[in-house]
Amino acid sequence: MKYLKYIFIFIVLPIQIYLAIWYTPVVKGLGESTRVFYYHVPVAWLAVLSFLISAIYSAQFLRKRDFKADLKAEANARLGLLFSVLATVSGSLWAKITWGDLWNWDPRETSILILLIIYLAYFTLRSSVEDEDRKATLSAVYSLAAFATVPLLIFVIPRVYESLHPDPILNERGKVEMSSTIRWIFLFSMITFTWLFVYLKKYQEELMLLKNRKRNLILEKLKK
Amino acid sequence: MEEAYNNLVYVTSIIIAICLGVFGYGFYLFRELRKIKSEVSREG
Repeated sequence: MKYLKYIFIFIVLPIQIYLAIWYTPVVKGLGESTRVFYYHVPVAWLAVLSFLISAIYSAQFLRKRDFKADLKAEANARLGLLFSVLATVSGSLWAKITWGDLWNWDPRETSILILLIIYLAYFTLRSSVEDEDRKATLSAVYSLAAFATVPLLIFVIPRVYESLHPDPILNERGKVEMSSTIRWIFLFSMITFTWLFVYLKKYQEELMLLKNRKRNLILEKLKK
Repeated sequence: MEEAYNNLVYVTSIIIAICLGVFGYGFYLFRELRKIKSEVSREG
């Protein structure tokens, strides 16, 4: 496992940077901004993945009343929020290059903005309830309800309404229409970012659990 | 020419923003984790 980390840092990451920045062919119409594709789409994918994992942990909490699952749900929602912000900011800058404006109220832009607001409310909810049991229960229910909007906002609405965005990666005809070089670099970027996510997830969850343990230790000392 | 330069600036900014966001947050987590590990072992 330790060696995997070094393989990632010294081999996988440099290869991804080389492929995405130097090796990639430039797509007609996108020009130099083709390179952004290998960063913007993976972070958007990681946002959805983080929210999905957060919802799974929330369901686990409701089923087993395991408070570790509640903390892990929060940890993954944090990562989801980070990736949503990165996807929104990078998408907005990319829109400036390709569509001429930073914000165009495109269905995908609007959807991710709504998603950001929904998950910001999740953290507001968590910080506004003091009782641990009540906080965990309410957050878990909210997290499940929030995730129910993700397929609708990310996959349905952008396909129903007219969008400035190009066809989704997997289009309505069920095909991936991009040159094979771009497809392979894109796949490699998705794997690289997902690999990176595995480390971030591990660190974030561990940090949340340790913070909770530290809090409990202090409370125990105060009781004595 | 100027437009191409501007686009290049935007592309570079986007990639740097994403990398800073992801790796910066990763570094923050790593540092916090080390700090809290030593605090917990001291408390416990």
